[in-house]
Amino acid sequence: MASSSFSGTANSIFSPNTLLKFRLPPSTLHFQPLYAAPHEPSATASPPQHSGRNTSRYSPQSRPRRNNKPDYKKTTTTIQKEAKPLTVSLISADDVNLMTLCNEGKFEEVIQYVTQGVGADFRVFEALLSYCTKLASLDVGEKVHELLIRSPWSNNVELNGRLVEMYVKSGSMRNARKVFDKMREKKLELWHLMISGYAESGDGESGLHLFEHMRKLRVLELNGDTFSAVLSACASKGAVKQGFVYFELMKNEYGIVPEIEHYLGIIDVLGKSGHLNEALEFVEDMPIEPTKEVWQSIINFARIHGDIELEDRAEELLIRLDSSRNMADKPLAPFQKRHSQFNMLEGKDRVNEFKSTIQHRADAYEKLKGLSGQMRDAGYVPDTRYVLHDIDEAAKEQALMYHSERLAIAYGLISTPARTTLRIIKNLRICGDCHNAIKIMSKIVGRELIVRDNKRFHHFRDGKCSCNDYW
Amino acid sequence: MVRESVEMDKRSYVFVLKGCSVLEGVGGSVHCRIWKVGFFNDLIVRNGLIHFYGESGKVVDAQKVFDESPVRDVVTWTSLIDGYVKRNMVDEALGLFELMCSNGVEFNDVTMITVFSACSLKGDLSLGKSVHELVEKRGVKCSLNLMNAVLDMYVKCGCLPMAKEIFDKMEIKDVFSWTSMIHGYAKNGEVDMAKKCFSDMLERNIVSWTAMIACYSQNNRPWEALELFHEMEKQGLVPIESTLVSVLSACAQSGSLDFARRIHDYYIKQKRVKYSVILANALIDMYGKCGSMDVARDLFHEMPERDLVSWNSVIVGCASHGLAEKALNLFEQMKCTGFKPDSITFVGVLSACAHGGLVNQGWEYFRSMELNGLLAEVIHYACMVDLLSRSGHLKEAYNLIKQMPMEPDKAVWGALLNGCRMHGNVELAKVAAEKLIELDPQDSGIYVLLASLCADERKWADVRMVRTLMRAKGVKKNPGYSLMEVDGNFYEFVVADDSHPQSRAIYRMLDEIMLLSKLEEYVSDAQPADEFS
Repeated sequence: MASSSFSGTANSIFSPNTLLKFRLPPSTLHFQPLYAAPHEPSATASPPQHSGRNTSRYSPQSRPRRNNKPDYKKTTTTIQKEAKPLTVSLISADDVNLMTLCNEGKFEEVIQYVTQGVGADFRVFEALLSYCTKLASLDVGEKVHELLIRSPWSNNVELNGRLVEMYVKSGSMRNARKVFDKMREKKLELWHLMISGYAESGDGESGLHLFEHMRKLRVLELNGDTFSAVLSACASKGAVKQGFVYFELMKNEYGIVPEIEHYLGIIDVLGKSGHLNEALEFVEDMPIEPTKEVWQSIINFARIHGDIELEDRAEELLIRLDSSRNMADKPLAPFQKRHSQFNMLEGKDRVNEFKSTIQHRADAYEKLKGLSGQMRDAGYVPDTRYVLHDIDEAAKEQALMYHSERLAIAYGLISTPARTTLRIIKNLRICGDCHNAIKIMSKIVGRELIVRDNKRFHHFRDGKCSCNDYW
Repeated sequence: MVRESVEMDKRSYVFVLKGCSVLEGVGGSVHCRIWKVGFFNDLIVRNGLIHFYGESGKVVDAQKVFDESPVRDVVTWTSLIDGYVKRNMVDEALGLFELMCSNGVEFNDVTMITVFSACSLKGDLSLGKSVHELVEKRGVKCSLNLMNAVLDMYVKCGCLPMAKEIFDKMEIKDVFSWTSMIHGYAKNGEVDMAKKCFSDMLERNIVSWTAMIACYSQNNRPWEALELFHEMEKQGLVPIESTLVSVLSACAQSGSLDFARRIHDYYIKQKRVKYSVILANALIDMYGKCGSMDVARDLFHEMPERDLVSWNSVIVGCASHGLAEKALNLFEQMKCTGFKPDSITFVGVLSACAHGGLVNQGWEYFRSMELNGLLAEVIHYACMVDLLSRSGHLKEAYNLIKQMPMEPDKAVWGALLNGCRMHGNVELAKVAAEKLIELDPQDSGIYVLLASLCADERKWADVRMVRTLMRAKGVKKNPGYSLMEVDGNFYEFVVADDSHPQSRAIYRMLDEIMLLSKLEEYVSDAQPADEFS
């Protein structure tokens, strides 16, 4: 056969004709803001002194999240589509009902109109910020933030609280902190949100610093939720001693009676640091009866650290509390498939897809770089070649972290007894980074992990794979 | 009767012969007695003997009785034709039918049922149509059984439109009619139509349930096959061998190991269904594809009898599990036991070499195909290209492609592209990618591999261009997902999935594991993937 090849230049994989054929369309037209003055109220906006009246008040998450998982959400197709230039020119405020557009989910249009000068009231900004929070899109969030700054509502406490929440959910703690620091009024829940956000982003130390600053102000009465957030920050930092100090502080200085949430917080602090024996002793010394959540937490940490004996013991104790977990007494039920059914070979038509579209800014990237650097120093080197976006290395590492096969393995580890072989089916070919990561996992957890991808089987055991890294 | 000295007439012997069909070693003595009492020349008795020998598979004896018959009627001819059909001697059966017609013997609907069966076995649509026309022309009585035979013929000859036409015209339909249509739709990939037929059936039997389960299984819808099987069990029906074969295949596709074990334990080990070579082969295939190759090999070694499918299943299974040496050893054992390898055998052997990086052995086996009377097919060339490409012999792989006697397909070029990706050969990758896009512009894997290559070379503009190309062609990336079976329940995950109720715990587990990776030497020397997420 005669060989054929592209006739493009040495630096391009495409031929010139291909480049010409698929040239990108012209970029979106830019619209300049029309505000003459930053605080001039628009015709449709209510007076600032009436802000908050007849509207729902900001109510951030009351309990902090415990894990460090990025808050990926289901994306909408709107944000993923290429922006089309609007055909509108200058629009009179009387001709547009922004709130109606918000209710119809046309947030991009709303942003465009506000950018052109159409005035947005409290409700509109509230809706936009809520949209950005759900979207977890930093770029869109920053755009809305800029619009808010230029509007008469820039100092509104409720909206700024929403803004903080949006930045926390988008993973930009630096931006969240900037807004937070400028706020003259800060409710207790907002402090909790910040502390928990730092913990979830892996920066527990900053969370603890913020807590100490909060204590010095002495303007707010701390409660149990405060210390739940604080303990999560300690766990994130691996600060065992500090965790116990704050635990005692909660009881002695603030008179807060520890609840199960706090005991779980201490277990997290100990478990994440690998102090399993101490965690077990702590549980045994608890003044209240350990719940099944407590033992489940012990089981999880035992699995992570490969303490099979502790895992077995905790499993036995858990079964006493939750007899439904004793599968030996149950007849084998016919198979059940969670989530929607799908044809494995036609999954592209049916699988629900939850992919992140987080666009980190430089500050977030720097933070992630730092975290990645720490892991590199310890010997972990993710292979970011498998992330096909021209983005920062740290973001690539983040993108690699939560591939589906790793999630499946994580679930298998927390759902099956010790020593159980895990079998995972992947519809595509396992990527190289996951292949290497799973080898490490098999060594850490002391189990055989069998992955069937669309090419072959991989038997991971004791840090090695049956394919000998040749596939 | 004989002991009681009761006098038997010729009809008695006809009934006795019918009973002898299910008893081995008795018919011969009955034949002798027929001869002794002088009934051998009676037409009814002769027809009974021909039918008996035909049912017993002794067509030579049946032919002999036929030849010695001075008088033959339609039953005589039909019985012998049926005997040949049952032995799958289709040409002899059809030849006999032709002789029957040329002798001026008028055939009936029973005869034509047998002839249509022969056409079905032969898979000759043209012949089937001719026979159908003959039936219509001669005005043969269109009984339900005859119409079912016509229907079955069109289905098995791959002419679904004609089958549907016949089916729609049938005023009376029975379970066999509906089941034939299910088979037809299944064969044609029209699962929903088959499902509708199954739903519309007023009466179903184990064959129809099996047909529908097989339909799902054969059309890559294993979950529905398993659900239907469960429904069948709830109806109180007991599966037959072919039911279990389809169910085990569905388990293999879906990775339903727990459920498959239940099938194995309950139906096979407890001998509710007879254990056969066919079932054993299905089990070997299932255990291999569900990740329990050790069990599959044990089953293979325990088989008292094996066929070529058994050997192929275990060889291919070992190959896919990276047990290259074991696969090749089995291949050598197979040859020593007298089995002649077929095309599938060599797919397994070459795959084993590819997974094991055994270049020289791969070439040796590839060349030995001709010695075994086999011509290498495109899939074998794909295996060789894969072997050479993985091991870095890219030029050699490309030369092999250029020398191929047939047109290279996606598998061939895909293997080369993947090898180029592994070894960073940009120029050759362009060639392969271009060919692949020509063959299947909608395959997202090609673009992902191409983008990976660009990313490796830090050509981000080209990466973006690949994505632009995908959008322009309307290509959608195949989303990745993973399945995990826990206690018989399956859980599906996609990248960054947080839909599971225990997502927080799952992510916490992941975070802890990755942090612990600090304690290990985790320096990536990873190999590339063609598609991942």
